[in-house]
Amino acid sequence: MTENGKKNGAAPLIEARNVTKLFGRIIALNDVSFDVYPGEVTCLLGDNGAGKSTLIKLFSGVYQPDDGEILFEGQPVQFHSPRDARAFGIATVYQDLALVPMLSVWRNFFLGSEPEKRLGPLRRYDIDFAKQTVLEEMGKMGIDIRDPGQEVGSMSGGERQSLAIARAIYFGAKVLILDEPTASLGVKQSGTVLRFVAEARQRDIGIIFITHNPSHADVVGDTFTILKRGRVFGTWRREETSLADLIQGMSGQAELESLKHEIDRITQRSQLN
Amino acid sequence: MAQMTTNTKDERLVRVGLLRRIFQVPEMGAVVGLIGVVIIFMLSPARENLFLKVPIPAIGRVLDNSADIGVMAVAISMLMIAGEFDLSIGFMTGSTGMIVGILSAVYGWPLAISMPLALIFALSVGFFNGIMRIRTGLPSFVITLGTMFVLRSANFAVTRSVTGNIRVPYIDRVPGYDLMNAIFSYRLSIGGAQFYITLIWWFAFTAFFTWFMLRTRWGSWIFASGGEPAAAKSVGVPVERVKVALFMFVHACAWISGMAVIFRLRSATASQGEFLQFTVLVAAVTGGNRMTGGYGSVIGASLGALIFGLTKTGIVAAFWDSDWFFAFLGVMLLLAIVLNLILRTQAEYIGTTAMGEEETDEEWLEKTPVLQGQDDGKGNPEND
Repeated sequence: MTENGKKNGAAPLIEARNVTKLFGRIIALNDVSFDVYPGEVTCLLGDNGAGKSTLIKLFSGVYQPDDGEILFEGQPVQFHSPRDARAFGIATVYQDLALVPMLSVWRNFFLGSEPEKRLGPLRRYDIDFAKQTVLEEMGKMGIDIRDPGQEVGSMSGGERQSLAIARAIYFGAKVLILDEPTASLGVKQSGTVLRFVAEARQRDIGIIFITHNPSHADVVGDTFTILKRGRVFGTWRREETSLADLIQGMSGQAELESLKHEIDRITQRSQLN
Repeated sequence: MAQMTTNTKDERLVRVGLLRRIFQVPEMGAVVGLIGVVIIFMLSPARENLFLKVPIPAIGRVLDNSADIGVMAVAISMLMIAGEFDLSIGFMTGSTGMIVGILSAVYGWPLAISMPLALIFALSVGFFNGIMRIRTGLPSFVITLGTMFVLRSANFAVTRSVTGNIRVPYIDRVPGYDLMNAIFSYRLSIGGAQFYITLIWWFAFTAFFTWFMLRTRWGSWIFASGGEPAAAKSVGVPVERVKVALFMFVHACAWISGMAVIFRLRSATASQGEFLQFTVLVAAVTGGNRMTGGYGSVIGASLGALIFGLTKTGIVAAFWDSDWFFAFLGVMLLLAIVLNLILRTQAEYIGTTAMGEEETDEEWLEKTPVLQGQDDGKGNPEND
């Protein structure tokens, strides 16, 4: 990260300052502050219900904070809808990926923003450009799309995830929010995605990487924030922490210990039977 | 075949056998069906063998019968690809015909007014169906079933109250008939075969909308709207606008079809269009269009229309009892659905091969259970 030289002194690209979000009587987020710097991967960790999704939905314009504020490049902003957030260059890749499995890779990549060429009174889809661009964009990120005409349904999970990320980057994302991109992937495919995330960082994009998995966070993260029950449990820079710390921070040593005892008990019982 | 595919230029391509690539084409089922129907009628012991004894006039008859539903088959296949269907288009051909018939032949309005009015009526009903579909979220079958019954009743009730009959005759006495007849149902003669100009309309529609579906952004939007509407919406495809526009489009095509019928028959009949929505459905499904949307082809629908034309002409020519026509159609529909399902399942096995690896047709056939038949009992669970 040091090659970017943005670690210290640079302003955060986007930040949440003391935000609180309520759903009825449930306090989903309580006085949470969170910064994202350009050219860095900020990992957001936490168990289910910790408030990860709520926090990113504040950034992507799905929700508005009840208290506190969101700042973009130092200026307070209010996103009334996902469209507002997108206009600022905040792209969110949700787990459903917004891909159409029965359509080809290049059709998916440009779906909704098709390049066109004039053809007399008509306009036609500039297919050559689309295919070429997909090959190039995926190639730049280190993924070989063998045939841009193949159906997305025939791609592996990791490749699909990468395609969705590449699309967001190509269409000018400054902040890229990845919602558990490795959640349903195997080891090898997670590797594909993590490499992709590392490539995206080289382009000065601020990346928010949400995950359950401390080892995935450890591989690509520059900053780590752990949320617990709607509060920030802690934020560490890479050099201040280790994988073991992250695992411990996420689950708590005591909880892990008690889990271990419980499993031992179950194992013993089944052996007795 | 394995050798052929090993020599592809790009070494990164997922190499698949030629056979499988053919299987992946959506029109495949229709091609097989077309060959099947031709063989059936060639083998049928008829005195007037359709294709051997009277080929040229027979071709004219086959193509006319196909063209009658061709334009609408093209339109409905696009609506189906977008994941919707419309049952009211059949009676809409009757309604538009009645509007022109009553306004012009009975009340003497010029065609220049009655025909655009009929078109506006068709577009409005299409708009209504589309908006209802979007706003209520109910299946389009339910909504358009309602519209269908209303149109059916209105066609009979209005015609009877105006003319005392269910027919409006003498459309050929309306000023401007000759010009409109030339546009919608001119009789052409090419090399001994006679055609209605509807054939040209059908071919032009097939060609243009094939291009439209594959080479414009609207084509992509239509496929995406039927395939994964939520995903399409989230990347900015105006899914609702696409669907409403297509509902209006199929009704505009019903108007074209309705005009062709009244100018050809020189009269309008209230019962016009009964079953038409189903025959175009058969044509579209035979042509590989999925009822669930997201997949299909305009050319496929046109091939389906051709199979329909062949069947209709063939049954009469083979002196079969024409009462059995609909049974034939029904069997054809079911066969087509099963065939397309098998073909598609086979084609989708592409996903089970690791990327970058080569899989020959032989290996693929070995892996896929459907073509092998179900008798080995063990199945191939490792491929699932």
